Amino acid sequence: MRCHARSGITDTGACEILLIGAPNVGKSVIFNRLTGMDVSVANYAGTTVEFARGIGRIGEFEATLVDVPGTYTLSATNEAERVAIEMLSRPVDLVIAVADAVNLESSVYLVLQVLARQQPTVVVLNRIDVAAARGIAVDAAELSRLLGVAVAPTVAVTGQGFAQLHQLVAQTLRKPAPAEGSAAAGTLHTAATTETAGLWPLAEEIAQAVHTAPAVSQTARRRRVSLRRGSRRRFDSEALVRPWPGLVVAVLVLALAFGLIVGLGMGMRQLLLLPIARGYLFPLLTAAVTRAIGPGLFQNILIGEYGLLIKGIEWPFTLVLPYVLSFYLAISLLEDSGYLPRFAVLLDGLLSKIGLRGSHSISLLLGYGCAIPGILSTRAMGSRRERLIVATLISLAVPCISQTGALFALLAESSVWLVAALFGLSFLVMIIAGLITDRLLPGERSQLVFELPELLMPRPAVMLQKLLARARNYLTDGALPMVAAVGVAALLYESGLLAQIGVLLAPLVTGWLRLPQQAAVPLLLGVVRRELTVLPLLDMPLTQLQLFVGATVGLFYVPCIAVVATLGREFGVRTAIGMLLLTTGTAFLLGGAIAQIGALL
Amino acid sequence: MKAELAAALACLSQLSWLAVTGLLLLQTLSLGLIGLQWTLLLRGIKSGEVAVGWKSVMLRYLGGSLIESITPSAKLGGEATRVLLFRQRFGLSSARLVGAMALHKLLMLVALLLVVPIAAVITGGAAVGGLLGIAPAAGGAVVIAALAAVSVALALLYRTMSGPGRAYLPGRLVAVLLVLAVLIWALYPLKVALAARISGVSVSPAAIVAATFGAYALGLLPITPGGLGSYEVGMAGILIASGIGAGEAAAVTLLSRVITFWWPLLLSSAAALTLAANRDGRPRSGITSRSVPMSWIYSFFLRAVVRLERFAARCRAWGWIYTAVFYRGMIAAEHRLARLTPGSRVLVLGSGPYPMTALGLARRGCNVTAVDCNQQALLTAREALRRQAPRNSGAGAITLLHDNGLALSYHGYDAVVVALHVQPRETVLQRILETADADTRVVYRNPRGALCGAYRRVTPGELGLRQAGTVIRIAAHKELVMLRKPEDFVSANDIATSGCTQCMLCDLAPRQHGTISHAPDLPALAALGLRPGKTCSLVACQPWGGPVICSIGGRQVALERSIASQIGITPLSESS
Repeated sequence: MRCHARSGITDTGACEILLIGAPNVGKSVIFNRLTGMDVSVANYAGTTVEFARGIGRIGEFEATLVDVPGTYTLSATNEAERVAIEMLSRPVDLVIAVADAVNLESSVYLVLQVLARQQPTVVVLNRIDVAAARGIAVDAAELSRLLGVAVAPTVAVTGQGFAQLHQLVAQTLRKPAPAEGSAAAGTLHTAATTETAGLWPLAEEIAQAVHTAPAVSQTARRRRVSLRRGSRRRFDSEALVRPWPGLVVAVLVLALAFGLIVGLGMGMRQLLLLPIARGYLFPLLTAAVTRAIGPGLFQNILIGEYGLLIKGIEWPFTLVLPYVLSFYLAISLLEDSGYLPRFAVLLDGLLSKIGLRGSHSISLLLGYGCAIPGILSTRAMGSRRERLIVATLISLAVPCISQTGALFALLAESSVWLVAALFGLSFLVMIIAGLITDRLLPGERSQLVFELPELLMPRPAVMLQKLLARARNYLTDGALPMVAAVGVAALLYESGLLAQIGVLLAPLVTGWLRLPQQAAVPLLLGVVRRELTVLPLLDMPLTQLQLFVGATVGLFYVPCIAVVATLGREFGVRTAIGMLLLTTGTAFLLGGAIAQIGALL
Repeated sequence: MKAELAAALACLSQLSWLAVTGLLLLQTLSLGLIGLQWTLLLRGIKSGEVAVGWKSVMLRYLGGSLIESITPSAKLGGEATRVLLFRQRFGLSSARLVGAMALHKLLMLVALLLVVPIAAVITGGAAVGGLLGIAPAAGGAVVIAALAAVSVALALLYRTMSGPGRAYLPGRLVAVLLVLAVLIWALYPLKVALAARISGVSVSPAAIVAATFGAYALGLLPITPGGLGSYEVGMAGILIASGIGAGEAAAVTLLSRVITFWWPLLLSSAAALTLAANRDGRPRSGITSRSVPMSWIYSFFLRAVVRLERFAARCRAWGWIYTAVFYRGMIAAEHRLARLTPGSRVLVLGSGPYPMTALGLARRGCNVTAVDCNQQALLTAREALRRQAPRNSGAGAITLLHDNGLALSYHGYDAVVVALHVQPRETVLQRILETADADTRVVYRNPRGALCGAYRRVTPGELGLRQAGTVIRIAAHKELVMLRKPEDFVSANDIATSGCTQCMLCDLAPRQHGTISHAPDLPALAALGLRPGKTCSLVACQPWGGPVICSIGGRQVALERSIASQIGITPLSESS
């Protein structure tokens, strides 16, 4: 059945459904359940920064669902909220307002604000399991009566209540009518037109009215008992945000995460992937290719210096993939447990010294995975000025996990101290860049108010799903371009063009950076993928100083092409070009300085 | 020496992690077997309602092992700790537990007597015989003798265990325990043999048996914590004596020690931490129990303080040191602050098992009444004072009083000194201000900084007083506050409405509750529940000008400090 297409945006005729609610109430989980897509979910506010669209079937309707960034209110205080308001202000077929049974009062407030917009609405009352565990029972029927719209109680993470939700959504789609005739609607109408703050008493009243005596179901009682017995846990969670022992724990957690990433990544690479590739796969491929094709250009392209079949497999799959997996495993653990915001709160004071917010440490951490989610995640928090500072730091001095893996492969085999020195340098540059941009950029610090999510045990199934999604993402967006770039490099190399370019860049590469001439290759390839600034150096005979210079240039060099595109989209072309110049300039300046000073010693 | 060390390192460097993990698992298994033994034994003697689970037994067994490993008391300290822990958890009487302990020891000994000779005979042990001083030919005789000893011992044991009024221990249980004991002992040389095998050193089985039990025996000497040193020297010595290179012997010794000492130490530390974290909720302190819940670190701290003070009451030297370190300066300051003169009438509230403050003030000539609500603490204090009386002129001038600070009348004193741990602080202070004479000096100790987690901090403002009081900082984490009862004192019941106690959210002490009186007009604040009329509590203030974290309606919210300083709060006198 086709929809009335009130919006006019969806030219397919599918219904447009907006999913709206406070941050971290589980909109994305509901979205994923209704559409079967994999929007990223995590246990902290502001995971969805760009609205996601997905197609789902609800009853006889084909619907386009839009996962709106989470907002507590409809009064734009940051860009994510502004997006939400803008989307609500044009007519849609249905709004699904997600309310949190645990924090009913503020949820009802948001729902009332949504209702005041006169769109057909269905309310999802999510997290009723958590509420029950806390001894809060909500009378959904009463809530529905008071609000004048359908209410579906659910537990999104387990899928409980979704059959009813489907039914209610289909029903409302069949008879679209803006919420009216409810007990609340009258008050609502006048309140909404005059003053939004006037909705609070109403919200409180409704929340009071629907809170029933807790249903003493067996599971709820058991849960509550276990909760009470585990009251220590609650205090531990408070201890995590006290300077003592919170800061010590934060250092330990970081060290553990680092150990997990490096240990697991290196372990997978050295013990599993490399032996398989070098011991079985490559000899097999080489033998097959030499048998199939005679010596010559084509054979060289496949298995030569930049052999598509050799480097094109070794680099993306044995070198980078293990670190990608271990990094996202560690970061998912931190994300899903809800520890990250606590970490951010502890570091806020320190980061404020370089013009940042504690919450930006999450963006920076994400940037260590890949710059793009790092930059995008700043949307949920803060002003343009802060976003620009974070984006600069990430583009300049935060190596993505692919590059980190490559740097480990390059430096750790020579000396662990080189790795430490490089990361020390990157932190130093980050601090200096932060201090400078903080002084240079006009504007004020945003005011931070955010909720710390509950600490939860990460669900293995969710984590596995996320890990798979990331791996798939890496394979399509990371590995394939890398293979293509290796192919281009092989072509250039075998055709002799690369040598020409090398001669052209000689003053810069051999003169200023004191690297061998073929080190021009990574500079060219590095534009495509960050780690390609480092990987080609692996097979060159370099001294420790040259290794360090190469790694330094690689670290600060142009972020990959996708990041530049993201920067352009987020901040405008001028900013993107400026960033390009800044990073390249810093890379050559620092690398050259180290090379020249090193040569003197 | 260097060459030997290099050889040892060479041996250890070729270790396979898989093998080491296997060994660690084997050690874990043998610890688990001991835990099983204890579980069965405790179930056998248990009298009543508390179920004996393997896990809780294991935790306590390992807790005892920690004491064994970090003190030079060898088995003695460990077993005593276990008796204490078992008694506390399972509600068994000490006598019964000591009986069980004796039975356990006896069984282990019997098993040892069985295992060693058998192992010696099996390993064909001329070498063992030589090393352990058992003539090879006498091996068989020893076995027979051992078995005889076993039967005699068991018979004796039965007498003691199944006497009148004691629980009857079924013979089958004893047999099972004995089998377990044999198994546990047999695992010892097996672990050492495996350690030698995986570090690539070939040692004769006889030497292994000799080295294992020889070193174990040496390790039991109560010289160093966990027999560190004596065990190593013993094992390496026996191995070298059996003709193995010094380096290789060192390697085997070190590895076996990692398996049988350091790894269990790690496990037992974890167990001890778990135990420390599990608060039973049973107040065991001599000082008042606290109503405010706290994290386990603080509870551990408070218990440690109680122990230290009780010990101070018994041991003169320690009492002197403890007073000098923690109290002397503070008492002098209190004396000055309250302007006490010889003959002043002072009431010390919360005097504890060792009334240092009372003693210090009495020595300065004051007439001191020391009050505590804990009877046992007072008994200890009385004992301490009696012992001190001949030497200390002040000790005689102290009146001890068992009473509750909330019910006491404070009329008739020149000064009242309130200790740090007195709970609930505001209510007690209110009571003092209500019942004391006008112009009475009330001096109370307040925590600062890290101590705020363990004790509650109360500012004069929270008591509904307009005066700020005189505040003196003591040491790093304490301060003294001196109040005078004002003429126009408003009683506690009026402050909530009087509204004279305005402060900002960021001024609250950690864990203190308050009602929001006004908040800046930010949509996000209202949405998170920070609206006037709501109750919230402060969780923490972050360092370096970082955010303030408060807890409201079950949520934790982080706020910019500048915002938090715009939120007006009326502190609540009762913490809930």
